[in-house]
Amino acid sequence: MTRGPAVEPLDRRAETIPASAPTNEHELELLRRTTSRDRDAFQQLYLIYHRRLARFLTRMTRRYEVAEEVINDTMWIVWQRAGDFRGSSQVSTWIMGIAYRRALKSLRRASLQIHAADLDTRDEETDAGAAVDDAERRQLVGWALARLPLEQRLVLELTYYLGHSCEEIAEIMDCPVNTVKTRMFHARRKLRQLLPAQPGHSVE
Amino acid sequence: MRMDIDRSGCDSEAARLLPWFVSGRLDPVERARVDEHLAACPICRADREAQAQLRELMRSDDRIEYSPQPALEKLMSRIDEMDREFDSGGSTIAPRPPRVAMHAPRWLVAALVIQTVGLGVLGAALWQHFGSEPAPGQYRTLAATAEPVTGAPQLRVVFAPATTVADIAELLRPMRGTVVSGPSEAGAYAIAVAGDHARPRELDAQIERLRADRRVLFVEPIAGAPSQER
Repeated sequence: MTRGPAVEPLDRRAETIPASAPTNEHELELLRRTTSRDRDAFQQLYLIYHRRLARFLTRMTRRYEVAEEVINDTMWIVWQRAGDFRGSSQVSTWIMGIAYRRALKSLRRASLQIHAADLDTRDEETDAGAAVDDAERRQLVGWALARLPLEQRLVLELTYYLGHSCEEIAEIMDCPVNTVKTRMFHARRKLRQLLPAQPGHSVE
Repeated sequence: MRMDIDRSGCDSEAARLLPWFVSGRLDPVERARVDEHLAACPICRADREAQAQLRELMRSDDRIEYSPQPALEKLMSRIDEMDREFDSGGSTIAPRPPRVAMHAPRWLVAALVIQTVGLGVLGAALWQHFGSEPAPGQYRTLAATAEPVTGAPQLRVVFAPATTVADIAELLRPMRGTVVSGPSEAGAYAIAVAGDHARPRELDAQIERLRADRRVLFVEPIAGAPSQER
């Protein structure tokens, strides 16, 4: 069994890989090496996924400390079960699916689902019609996203931020493809209500 | 209200696929369908632009800098600890505070407690399944079987946190497995295997079976454990 220092120096390049980059082949290779208990490969995989998992899970759990626990639970399973990955899906779909299920369990057990009224963003409420630049638009979009039901918010995140297809999201969320489309449909409709003059709003 | 878009005459499926058209994640057939629809539908053309803007804003909202290093160190410590435990080859693990490697979430602690308590029930079930009454005055553990396992346990297994007692019983039954000790600090159980199942080839097959099961996070032969040959 490979043994080495607990943590090798950070591969800074890994942090900068965009979430949607076509990195499946590279990730498959890292996963294959992880199966052989290659710690360096596993740590590279960890660093590639930390950012996207951190964002996705923080959106999901609303608390970074919870998200970080779920990240490590997820990657622990990846370390233990890398050999189970059969390549029938993207590596990212497999890992995000593990993370989604771990986070759901964490949320259910800890009752961390926070209602919209309790969100940290409550002090950021702004006149939705007065946004003038991208920073304000981002703030408004974040405010509106936080008010969507969890499943709808996650479908938007998985689609637009993480770049997953409808079928991949169905696999990650373990639901029918049609359910994903319906969640997206409702998410878009609610965003139009929340942000009538912002992106996500359609013409009259 | 602006959300009440009149989509009469609108290909609703194409409209539903629009977000993935925008993100470039449709297959060619779906893409062609949306393309065709967009050519004829000004409502969806405008919606496409709106969705593209939303996507750009969400992708650009990446201001938070995360520091993966501390969490990675915690995880690698946890892995080191697991390796040390397995390399030791024995079931006795030096007592440690419960949160050495990482802060175990409450649900994980609860799951381990439930598993521990459940093992008693599991032992009883195995006893009922295989066992006969012990001779008067003869002490017998709940995990003892009618065909006592000789030698050290052969396998170390970590079950997924959500695994139930019934699941564990189901997993161990085909190889007449008995939980000898555990859970350890890392959540591992030492499993002894009875009869023909302990022969090397059959044991390998059982290990493969367990590894293929999603309820098993980890299974490994215990180094130096004698397999039972007859």
